[in-house]
Amino acid sequence: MSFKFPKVLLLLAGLGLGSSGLTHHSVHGVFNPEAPFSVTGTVTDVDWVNPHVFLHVDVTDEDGNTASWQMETVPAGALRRAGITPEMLMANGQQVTVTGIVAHKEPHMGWVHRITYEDGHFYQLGNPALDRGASQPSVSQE
Amino acid sequence: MRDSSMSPRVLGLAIAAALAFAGTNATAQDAATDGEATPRLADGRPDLNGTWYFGHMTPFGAERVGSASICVVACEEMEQTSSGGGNRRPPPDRPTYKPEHVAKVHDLNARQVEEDPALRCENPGLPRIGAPDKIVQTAGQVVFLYDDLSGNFFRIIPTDGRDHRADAVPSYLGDAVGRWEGDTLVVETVNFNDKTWLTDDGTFHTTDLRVVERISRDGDSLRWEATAYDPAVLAEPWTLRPRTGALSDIELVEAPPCDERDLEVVFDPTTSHDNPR
Repeated sequence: MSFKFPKVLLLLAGLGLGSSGLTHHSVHGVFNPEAPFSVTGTVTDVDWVNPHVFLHVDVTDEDGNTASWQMETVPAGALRRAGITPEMLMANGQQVTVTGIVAHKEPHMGWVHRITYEDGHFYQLGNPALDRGASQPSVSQE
Repeated sequence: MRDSSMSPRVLGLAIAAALAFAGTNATAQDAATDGEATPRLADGRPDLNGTWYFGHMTPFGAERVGSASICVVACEEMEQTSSGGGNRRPPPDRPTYKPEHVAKVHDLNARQVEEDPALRCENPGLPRIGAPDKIVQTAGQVVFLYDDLSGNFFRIIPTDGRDHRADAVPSYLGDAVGRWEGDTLVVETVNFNDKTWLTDDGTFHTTDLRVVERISRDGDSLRWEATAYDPAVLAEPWTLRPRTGALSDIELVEAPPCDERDLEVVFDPTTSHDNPR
């Protein structure tokens, strides 16, 4: 199923606006766009902080070993504006599937693309097309 | 309105009267507006009161999918650009430095992860903090409130004709006074400290920085423009790309704590060149 992104939001993006928003740094400076992950676990805690909200997800592998992942995502203001609360992210501890890309330096740290819940509803918080950021030169040679 | 049956003298008076009511900010015509008149306060000034949403570099949204799913970024796969990847963004908006200062800017830029105060949750300063998220306006002052990644900040800007304070200690957001030029609020700010950057890119400034903002309302849109003056280091005044915000019904709340956790795990510091505000 494809969805049309609201034109007004595309207009805002095209204007290059910025206020109390986005990441300080490109996603791929911390996370590896070539290292996607998909894990299933439970959200045990949410750190409602800036510049990035963190979800703590306990992931149990097929051998029964549990690892605690730190899942990083967009600023709290972006979630709030979208109507997403910490309680909605935790969803009373139900099983979730999280997809995203892994940090270069930390195997259990991920940048979230999507978090999907038992009943199938999801929150799309990232997109592979945005992971690399824009390749911008440093300050112009003036 | 033109009426070909009017005498030239009457037509001239009619045109003069129309211009008197048109305001001075012709560029406001470019702002997104639903065509509604700009509300005014009792003193006749445009009413800038409100919570204003100026958006982000990344198109954060709130697209509902079905009954419970939400896309904060685009659900559909975005097209890759011909340059090999990345989202479409406008070209960089940066000041131009005098030749003798370019090396310092490049050095700070290369070591942004080590040197950028905003990456350590410090006040980003002006104009980097961007347009105000909320404006409270009275006859004698306006108050700008900010919901920034580094926290909540405010500026109290007198508009009663007084001069800059003589006793102000240099600060991150400086000392501001405002005046009206027609329907445009012009805010001049001086007395900055030198602890901030103008952008993400090592763009340092001196304590002689002066910033002039121009704010105007057209219907339910707010236009914010800013120019930075620092002749000791800038080759020319730097006028930022204007920004337009929309009136929002999402009220400001206390900003969450600023807790930057990525600095210790940054893999490639040369990638840290985005300007998020």
